Amino acid sequence: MALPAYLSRLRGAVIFEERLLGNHADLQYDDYTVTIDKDTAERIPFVIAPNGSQSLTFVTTRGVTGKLHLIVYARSGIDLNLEFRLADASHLDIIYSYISFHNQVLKTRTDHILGENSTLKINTGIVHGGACELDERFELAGSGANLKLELLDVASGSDRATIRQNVLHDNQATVSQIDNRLIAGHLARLDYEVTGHIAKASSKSRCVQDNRGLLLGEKSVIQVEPKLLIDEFDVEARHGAAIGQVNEEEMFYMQSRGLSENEAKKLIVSGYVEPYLDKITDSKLARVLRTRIASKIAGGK
Amino acid sequence: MAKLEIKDLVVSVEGKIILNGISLTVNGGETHAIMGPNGTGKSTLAAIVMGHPKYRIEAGDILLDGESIIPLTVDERSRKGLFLAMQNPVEVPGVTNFDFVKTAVSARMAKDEHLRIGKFIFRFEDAARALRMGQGLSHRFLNQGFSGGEKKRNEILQMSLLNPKIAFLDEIDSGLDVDALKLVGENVTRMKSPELGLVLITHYQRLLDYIEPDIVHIMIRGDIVRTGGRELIAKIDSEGFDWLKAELGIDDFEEKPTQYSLGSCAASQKVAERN
Repeated sequence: MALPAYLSRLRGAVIFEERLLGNHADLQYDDYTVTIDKDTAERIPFVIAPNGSQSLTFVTTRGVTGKLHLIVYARSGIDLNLEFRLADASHLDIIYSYISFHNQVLKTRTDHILGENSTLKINTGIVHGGACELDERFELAGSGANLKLELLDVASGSDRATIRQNVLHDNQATVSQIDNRLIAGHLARLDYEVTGHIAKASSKSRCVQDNRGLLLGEKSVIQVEPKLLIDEFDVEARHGAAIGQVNEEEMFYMQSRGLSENEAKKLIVSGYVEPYLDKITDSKLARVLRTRIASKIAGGK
Repeated sequence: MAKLEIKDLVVSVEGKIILNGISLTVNGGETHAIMGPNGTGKSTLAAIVMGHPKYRIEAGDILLDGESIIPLTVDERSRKGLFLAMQNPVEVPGVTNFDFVKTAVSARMAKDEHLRIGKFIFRFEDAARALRMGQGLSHRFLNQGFSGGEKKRNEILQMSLLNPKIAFLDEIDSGLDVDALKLVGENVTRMKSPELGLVLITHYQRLLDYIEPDIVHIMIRGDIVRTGGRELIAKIDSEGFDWLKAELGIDDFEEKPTQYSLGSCAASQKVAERN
């Protein structure tokens, strides 16, 4: 697949299609397994652009700190399996950018297994065209494991997303925090099932989910099913979902400062989008994503 | 000099009249205080002048510099020079304080004008420093995670950067400790000028110790029932509003709230019987 220049020329990037094509970051790679065995000073761009189905595993070694920007690029339909195994006391900070195009099915399953005192920080941006099916699993296997997940999903027109996020707290003092920000333009539909499960013997754990959804069209749909399954005492858990059109009080406040309805809406939408885009350090890629998001919000494909 | 005239204004919400033929004139350079018991329509007055869509104007007019502002949208009123420092400023996640104020200042500029960012950053920082808002304010999300006092100071910061002609400060003293109140008072007093008309809505004397009003109004049941000078503040502070209600023959009764039940059929029936 011919990658666009903004991806193929990313500085220090690792490019993976059916096999590893470029490895400018010198990551250790063997048999579809990437091992992060030393701290990464800068975030490594890792472009995954498979044709059809593909599996990849990422492993961190004990105590290491890694930063990745995983860019899943789907010009045609893909079926991707990604597995992450975080060793004890390792830290992984991932930005995901899912980029797909009109009428394509982007199907991805991710498994994350976190060891003792490991931390996983994820910022996901889904800028899709067509259908996106994402099944994310997080197993907080080691005590003190910590997950922080922020997700932005922007859809419009015939775009559909079916997203399942499953967090299993399977040890003591594990922490998870999910913050989903969803924008559905006219006719788009986003379905989210967000489940936090605190298993037995996982006391002192904390499981938090926040879901915010902004409906920009009368016929747009966002459906979120937040679930908490708690099998242990002495834990903290909460979930919330706030979905609706632009809030009247927010609009009044902004307009009372002189912003027109359009300017106020734009600013409210930017409040969903900018925290994600701010984290993309490559200016060309950030510009492409910003343009696509702006076009989605304006009702484009 | 700016002039706001509220003339015989009758306002309702959900079919209930809450402002009952109120009239008030505020000129540039004047500071008015509106005091009154809870639920008398003080905040409604400020919100309706700003154009809150929740309220319906049944009769009367609101004029700014001789021109009716009733047909204008909220943002048009703001750009004409009206400002409302809100009692409960909303939180807007993801939008930084700086971006918000910058957009608001830009929105007031003529089409061929451009905001000079460098200069504006200095103005923003100076205003933040004067209100002791601390570093990092510009990057914090609008009012999110702000303490009550920070939210109120942020309102005053916006006011200082937007240069309004007529500003309503709705219970700007609530949530402020003594030091913060003094600071806000000093900042607002510094802004006083012949070009700025101020309307302070408050329950307490303490705000008016720091921002001295020229005219004091007492509002009860949706109308201004007494207008005077500072002597009214001292009287309210020592005696409350009962003396005035007695003088005017206003019956003080609590409206019986309608009770709703989300419970069983039996509970619903019980509530229905009570109502």
